[in-house]
Amino acid sequence: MEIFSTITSPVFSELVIAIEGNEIGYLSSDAVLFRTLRTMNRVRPFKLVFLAEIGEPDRHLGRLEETRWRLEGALSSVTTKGLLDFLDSPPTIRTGRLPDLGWEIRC
Amino acid sequence: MHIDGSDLRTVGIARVAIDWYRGKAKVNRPPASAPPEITPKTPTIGESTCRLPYEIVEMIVSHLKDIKALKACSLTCHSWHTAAVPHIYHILILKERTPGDARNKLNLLSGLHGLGLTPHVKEIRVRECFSTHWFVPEAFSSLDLGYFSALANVHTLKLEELEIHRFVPGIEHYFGHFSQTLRSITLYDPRCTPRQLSHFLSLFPNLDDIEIWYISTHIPHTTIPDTELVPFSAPKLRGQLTLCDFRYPETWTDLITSCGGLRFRHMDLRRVTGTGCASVLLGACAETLETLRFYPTDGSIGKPPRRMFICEPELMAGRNLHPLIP
Repeated sequence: MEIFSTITSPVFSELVIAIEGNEIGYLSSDAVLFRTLRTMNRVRPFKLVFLAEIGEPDRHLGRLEETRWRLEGALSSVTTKGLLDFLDSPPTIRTGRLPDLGWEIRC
Repeated sequence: MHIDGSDLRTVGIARVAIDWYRGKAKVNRPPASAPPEITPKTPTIGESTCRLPYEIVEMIVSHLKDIKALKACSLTCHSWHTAAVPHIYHILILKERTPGDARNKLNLLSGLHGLGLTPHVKEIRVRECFSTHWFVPEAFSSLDLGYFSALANVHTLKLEELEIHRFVPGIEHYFGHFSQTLRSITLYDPRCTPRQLSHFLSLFPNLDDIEIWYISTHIPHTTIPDTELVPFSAPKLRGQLTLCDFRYPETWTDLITSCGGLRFRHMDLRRVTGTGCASVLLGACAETLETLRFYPTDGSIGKPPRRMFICEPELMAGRNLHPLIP
């Protein structure tokens, strides 16, 4: 919290919370995280983004859509508990691959 | 010879037809004194594409990412070749297919130089596929170093397991020619001390984006102590910082000292553990930060989530170093 309060940038606008696909289940029970976010938002309002990341092997077989549904379900549970009521607008949900190095061979 | 009426009629028709065609030919044939008439020739498909303005060809080619498609374009005609070549040789990958003579991996440089392709190289990737690293100072003969130094338009470096400690001192002799053009650097598991890393990064004054994945600090004793390393310049560092498994604030405190602060606009911090590392970074970029990405869990598969920024000794001592939790 103290560290976040040091951010004085007038253009700070987005906080992305990245979660690996297999850990979405823990999200709704992480009360400490949402309490922290609430305090952070009071200091400096921001747009909240939840990013579910999945590994390369899971990218196919429809896992991306499944991960998105699971994240939507988890956030719905969180919203029901009132843990995100400090936000002006609903959080954005994104899905993507786990970051890689981009070492693909082109030549 | 007997010619009946029907024949005459036939001959007459034939004469009329001949006269008609001759007349048509006279009409269509340009008179000798008149200037030659320029008739627009209907272009074939291949010709019409050749007549596209070069800027349009360049725009089309720039959208192609597939190397096979680019190579096919380069074989079409001269203008398409000119447009495609910079994209074909945009990325230079130096890697070893088999462990062995390191100099063989740098032979590619002389080939590129001989064909005049070095100005097209904008990105260099160095891969280490085996436990014995080949991209070390000893791999560079004076000739190879000359060819490597001719790569003067590089704006992105992606270096895997770079043994920075082996290039120090004198790292500027190998990477100094990138100093004016380099904008982005990715280091995957560099081998160096935190201060050697900041020393290396300070070599590039126009550097904006930094991406570091892991760092191995267990290195042999170096010939020059860290305290004698002087920064080369003050990098701009106005873009994105991506860190994964990084726990050494010294690198950033050194850069903050030499740059007078950091100005990153985007930060992606993943498993940035260690006392004060995240706080140093967030504090230094406090006035410029636009977006922050962090991972509340460490991503260990099959394990319950742990708090980010908590390293094991502190956890055992009961100290919570989570930077975002009061």
